[in-house]
Amino acid sequence: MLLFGRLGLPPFAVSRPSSLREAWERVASGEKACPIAGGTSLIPLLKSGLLEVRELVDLSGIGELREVRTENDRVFVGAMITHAELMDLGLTALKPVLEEFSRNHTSPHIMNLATVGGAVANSTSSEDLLPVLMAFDANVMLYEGDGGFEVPLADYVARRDSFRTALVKGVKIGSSWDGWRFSFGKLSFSSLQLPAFCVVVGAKLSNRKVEDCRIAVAFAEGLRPGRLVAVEDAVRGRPVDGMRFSEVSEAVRAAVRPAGDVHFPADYRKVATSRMVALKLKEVIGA
Amino acid sequence: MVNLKVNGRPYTLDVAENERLVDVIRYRLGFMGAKEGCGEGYCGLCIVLMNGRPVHSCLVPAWRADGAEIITVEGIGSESSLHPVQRAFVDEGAVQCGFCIPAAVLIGKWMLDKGLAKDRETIRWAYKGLLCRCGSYIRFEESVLRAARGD
Repeated sequence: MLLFGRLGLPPFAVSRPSSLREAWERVASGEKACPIAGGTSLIPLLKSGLLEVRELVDLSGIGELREVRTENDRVFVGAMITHAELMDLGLTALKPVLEEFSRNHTSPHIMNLATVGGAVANSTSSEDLLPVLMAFDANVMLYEGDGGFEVPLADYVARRDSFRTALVKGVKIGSSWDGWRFSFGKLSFSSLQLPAFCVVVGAKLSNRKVEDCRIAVAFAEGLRPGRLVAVEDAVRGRPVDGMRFSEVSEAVRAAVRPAGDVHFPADYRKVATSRMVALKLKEVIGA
Repeated sequence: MVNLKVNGRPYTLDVAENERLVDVIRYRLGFMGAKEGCGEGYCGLCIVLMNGRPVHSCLVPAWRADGAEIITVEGIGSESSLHPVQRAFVDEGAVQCGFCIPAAVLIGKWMLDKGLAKDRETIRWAYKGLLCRCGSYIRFEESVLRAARGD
């Protein structure tokens, strides 16, 4: 909407539900109602006209979405927790990865607004938090009118369209990562810190062998981030000293099918991601 | 109706659903320090402190600011009594065209308030997300360090 030379937001209605049920009913009504969490991705889309909505469903009044609690050996983080608040939770295992993510690849001003749930619901590779959460075996807690259910984050992202009307309630993150080392790597451009590529690699060693590992990358499939399970399987059980990183790179190249854009062609992303995974694996296993 | 406090003064405003915080601050309340550059969280010119934290006011719907305390550059000093960060910006010659300076000063104030103004790396991190076309980032660093030292 152009008003006195200013490009503002187009008109829309706002509903402010106080429960998940109410929010879900609004979103599921199919009347171009869209939930808004932090708004850091949604507001620019509305402004540019790339997304048209009749109604924004404001999730900020739903107390459940602000909860953080430990359940068995998993931590539940509500969808409306901001990236800055996630940092402040002090989740020990995630700390070094989140610190690297925060320090070098995003800005504090965005972290104060952007939410965990917004990143999950977006499900695109511009959300660096997704490979981080995937590497830590995060599950998405979803809500539909008949109750809640849990889906592995990587599955949710890969099949995002199947969950069109489900609301993201939060994520559950594994908290038992004793003996693991994780590393975050990214090449970003512009002050928005958009990723050219982004990888998170974690490994646990036993008797100089890779007992277990996690590899999650941006642009695993088109614009979607994903876990590279086939590469993890190929690395698991291998001795540290005999690790052939060129083979790991090759396996990553075979596993990813990134989208290209005007800045970074798909082939570049494929090669760069494969090299970065090998580099980060080398770092976490101390080879 | 939205109740918010801007620079210490309470306001009750009837805001439209599609008004953003930057629209209200600039065009309804007249605090012109917060500018709209890109309008999508890219340039940082609209940064204000909301409940003590820097945010892009172009990304915040005005109704989300209900109950919030907002500080713009107009609220942290005056010509006769500059805030220590403003004083340091003057002393270091950090101001060239001046367009991004309100946001740069607010970021500096936030760092001082939170005890983050200790090293260059942290200051550089805090200025991520603010585009200064004059390239005055080094002067911003010097200014924030100077203000933190109390020079």
